[in-house]
Amino acid sequence: MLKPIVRISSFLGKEIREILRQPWLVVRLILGPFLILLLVGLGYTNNPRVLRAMFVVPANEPGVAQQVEEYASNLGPQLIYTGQTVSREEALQRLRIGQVDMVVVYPERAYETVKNGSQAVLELYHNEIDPTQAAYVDQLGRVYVGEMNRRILMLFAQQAKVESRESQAELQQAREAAQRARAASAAGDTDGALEELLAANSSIDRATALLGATALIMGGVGQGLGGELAVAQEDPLASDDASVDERAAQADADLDRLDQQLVELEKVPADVMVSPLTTETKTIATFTPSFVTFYAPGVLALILQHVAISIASLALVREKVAGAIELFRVAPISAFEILLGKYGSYIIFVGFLALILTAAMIYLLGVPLLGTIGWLVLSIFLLVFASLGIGFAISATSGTDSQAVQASMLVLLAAMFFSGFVFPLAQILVPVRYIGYLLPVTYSITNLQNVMLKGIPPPPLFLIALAAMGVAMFVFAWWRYRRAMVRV
Amino acid sequence: MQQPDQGRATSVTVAPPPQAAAPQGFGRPVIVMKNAAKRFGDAVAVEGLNFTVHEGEIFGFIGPSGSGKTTTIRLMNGTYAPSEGSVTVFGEPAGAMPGRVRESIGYLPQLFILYPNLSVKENIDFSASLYGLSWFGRRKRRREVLEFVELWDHRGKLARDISGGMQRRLGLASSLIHDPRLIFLDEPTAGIDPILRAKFWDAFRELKAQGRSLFVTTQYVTEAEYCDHVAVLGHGQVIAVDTPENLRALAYGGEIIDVRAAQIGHATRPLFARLAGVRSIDTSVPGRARLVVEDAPSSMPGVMEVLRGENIEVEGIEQYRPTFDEVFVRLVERHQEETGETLEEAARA
Repeated sequence: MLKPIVRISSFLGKEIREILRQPWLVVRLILGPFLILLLVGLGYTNNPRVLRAMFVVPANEPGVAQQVEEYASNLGPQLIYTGQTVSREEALQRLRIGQVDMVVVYPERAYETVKNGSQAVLELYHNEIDPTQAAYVDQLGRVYVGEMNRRILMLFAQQAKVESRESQAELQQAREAAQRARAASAAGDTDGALEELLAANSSIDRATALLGATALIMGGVGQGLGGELAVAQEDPLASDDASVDERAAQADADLDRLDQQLVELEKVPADVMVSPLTTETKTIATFTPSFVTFYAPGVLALILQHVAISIASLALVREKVAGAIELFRVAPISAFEILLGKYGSYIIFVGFLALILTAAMIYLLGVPLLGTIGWLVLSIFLLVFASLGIGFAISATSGTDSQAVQASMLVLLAAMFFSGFVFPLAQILVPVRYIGYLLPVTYSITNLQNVMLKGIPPPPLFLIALAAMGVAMFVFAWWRYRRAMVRV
Repeated sequence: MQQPDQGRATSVTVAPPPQAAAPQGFGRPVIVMKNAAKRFGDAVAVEGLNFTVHEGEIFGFIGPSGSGKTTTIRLMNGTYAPSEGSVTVFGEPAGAMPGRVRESIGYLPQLFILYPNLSVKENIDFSASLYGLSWFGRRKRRREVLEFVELWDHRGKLARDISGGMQRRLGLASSLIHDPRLIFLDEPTAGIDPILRAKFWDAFRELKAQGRSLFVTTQYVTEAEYCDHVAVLGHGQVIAVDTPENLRALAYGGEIIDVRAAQIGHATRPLFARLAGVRSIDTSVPGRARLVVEDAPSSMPGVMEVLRGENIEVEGIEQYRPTFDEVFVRLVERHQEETGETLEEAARA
């Protein structure tokens, strides 16, 4: 009973000693991943790329050139204004040789185009082959045009406010003329009354001329304003049915309402008029991580998977190539005992590595641990167990060291693309997405994020999947290694 | 420490021929090969292997590089299954040896396959635990074997930092740590200097004295001298199996006497032919006759008497003990003569 334990323990000590006897290996395995983690944390700003933009303006429209420079210099940190030219070719040549990242071509006679009821088109040129960067430039262009449109509307709104103040003065004159008309009517001076009403109407016409375009631009904001103007504009002499008094009183009432609406219009700020709706996102999560904090558990999972697969993938094949397997074949030790011993030693070693990396993440990078230690240990253990299984399966099926290294690098590559670490799983088509579910890191990213950042346990199905994967890989590696151990 | 025979002529009075150990002087059989063969696809590695290794003997397996020595060891230690015939070790089929039988076997492979990043002591500990020896159980034994191979003072050094000869001794110590009764040594002296080779053979004799059985392969033909029994292997087949002295006799048809006298020539051949026990006479070298006789010590007085009777002054008479290089070449040549195989064919094989 004691002998199998002694035989298993022989690999436990041997493997750990062999690793520790290679200081550079230890440095690479422990310090290397941590330094990568640290550098990502220190170096990644998560700020969008800044684009150098050049503008092409119409040759004969100096007003546009001035406006472009003024706007472009104040469009936020993502756009650096590098100048303007009237030559499209010159701008495109600078784009080709990389002196600028984006060329914006302003349309000629934009004002007339808009006035004629069409949209003026700004052309955006870039020289990106990276689809993500191309989409970013396109998006930035849209934001830029949207901002331009907003600023134009703001100007209109501010102009409308000025004009509304002027029209209020005209309306006040109209109101005074209407009062005088009523007084003249009361005094029996019908002609005088009609004359005053005509004067009131003239003031309303001027107010209409001032407010007309503004009312149209205000659209929904100044609802009713146009209607009130229309009522107020009715010719006081058009009908003979009503008395001058009544018409004067009616005009007075209309002008009161109109005045009231102009006051309300005055109260609304110009930016609210042009952007009446805005968004404010709120989260119910108890903790909102920074970019680095969010990715840290994923990086930890990826590093642990890669280290476990790398060292396990060499474990069996190295002894096959060096010839030690010949000793094992003669000695009274089984493939099962050898595998158990190697699993034990590597779980201890990678577990130690996980402990150091996790502590560094928490105490040096400030990544929180909101969940319990127990769930964290279980998540990491299952990740290491399943990853070692894949490594041993690779080792048991490889003929040389280089084959094993190549296979483990392939798994790393697959982990980068299919685990959800770089691209969200939801963006990968279903048959291809299943590749990700063959990798321990796919489950472990969620498990570790749950435990560390959300403070909740990992999904039970994910834990079961990792355990099942680990057991399946162990059985496969055992079966293959047993075949390698038997006599031929 | 017995020195290798360097092919010197040995005076009959000074160095009597060593006594060949008789098979009945050893214990029970530990390895029995019966018509064993191993093929890899169409290629025949070894075939027709028939011999028995007894308890307490050193059995030498001699043959040139690539002749099938390692394949034969692997058939015996259970790594290879025989394509035909049978191989039993301690009465068990070699390919299905139970754990208790495996614990009785030590194996020194041809190449150093221990761990360069572990110390001498750690490598020994690893080998011990492969055989289930607990830490307490192996402490005393570890010191014994390391002292036996003179590595105790180097136990803390990493295996990668010791010399090739020390690595070889470390391999031997690892194969002995679990106190095996049968030890397979695959070319243990290959590539090491003569002084260390002599030390290795001293160690093997000591192991034999402890009652262990040793199966030793070597391509140094002269090492056959140190074995109790020797199998000579030539391109996958055992050419001869016997004690070293019997192999000499087998190679030349008997023992050899060299006689030197100025008058010796073709004319003296009838004189030697008259003697009893003379099997062949070679007078091709003037002044020297080489006689193959059944028993050299008993034949030499008769030779002296005949020559003196003819007033021939004898300048010297001695038994010639051919080197095992010569014996090996002679045996291979004889085998080729018997099988009709040419030297080129043998070389290709």
